[in-house]
Amino acid sequence: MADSRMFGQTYEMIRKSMDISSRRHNLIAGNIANIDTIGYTPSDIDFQSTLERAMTEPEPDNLDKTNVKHLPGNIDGSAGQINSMDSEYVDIYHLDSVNIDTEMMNLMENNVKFRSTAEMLLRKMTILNYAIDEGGK
Amino acid sequence: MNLMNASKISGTALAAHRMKLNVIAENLANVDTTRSEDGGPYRRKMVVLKGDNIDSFESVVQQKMQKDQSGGIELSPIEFEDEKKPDNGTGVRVDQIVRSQEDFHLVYNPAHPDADPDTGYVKMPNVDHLTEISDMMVARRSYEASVTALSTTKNMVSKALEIGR
Repeated sequence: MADSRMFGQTYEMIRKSMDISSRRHNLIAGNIANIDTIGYTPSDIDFQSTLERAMTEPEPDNLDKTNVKHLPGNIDGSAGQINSMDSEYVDIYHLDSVNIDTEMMNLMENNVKFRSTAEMLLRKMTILNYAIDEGGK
Repeated sequence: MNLMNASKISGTALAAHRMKLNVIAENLANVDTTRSEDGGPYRRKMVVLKGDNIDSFESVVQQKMQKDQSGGIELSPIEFEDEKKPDNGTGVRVDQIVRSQEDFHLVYNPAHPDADPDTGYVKMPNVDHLTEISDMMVARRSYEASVTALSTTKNMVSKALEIGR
């Protein structure tokens, strides 16, 4: 879909960015849940590098094919799901236990990022709608 | 959905910390109990928390399907563990409730029915008010942190739902 004019690179970027944000939110929620757990190692992903990786990595072909002439699941190799999330695990803020200040800060930062990405998508769609309406004639 | 997992994780944390608060309340209630069920004075209880992987909807379905395919034989969950799901996050659960092995406080009170007939000292529970109150504050703050995480999740979900509008 990345070659489509209507849904260009922006949609792809926004989709992946929201996906990564929600994954990161999961990890942060897990860290906060385990404040009092002895021996728990907090985990986090680096948003920037994961997104970069997701945008450059070609999509793995997940479709089962019974004939060689069948079309592949990925159109041009650039779009798709992030399946390998094992990338870029960072643990730079904490040594061996959960740091609640950092986690709360990450939580808020991630929340703002997610919401603003969703807002971006909304605006993009408004523009598209405007074009479909022929400029609201 | 990814975000539903986050709310589940926060849910486990709320349950675990509520349990911890219950145990603390029990300790405080029994601060003067000299006769417990297992004889002797009340021993202070402590909660041990443990990280716990959340069963996502897909993994449960997958497990069930595999069970059906293998003719009703449930495969041990260990077989699924090598396939690590790093983005799932970890929930928490109460692993066990242990009794504190600290010494009992000795109080001189010969008139007490449970006093040692020779020395006149009564063994009082090893519950310390200050420890309990500070533990309670920590548990409450942890609970509140999870509530914040939960409301953030809710916030994100409602923002995501706006996209369809």
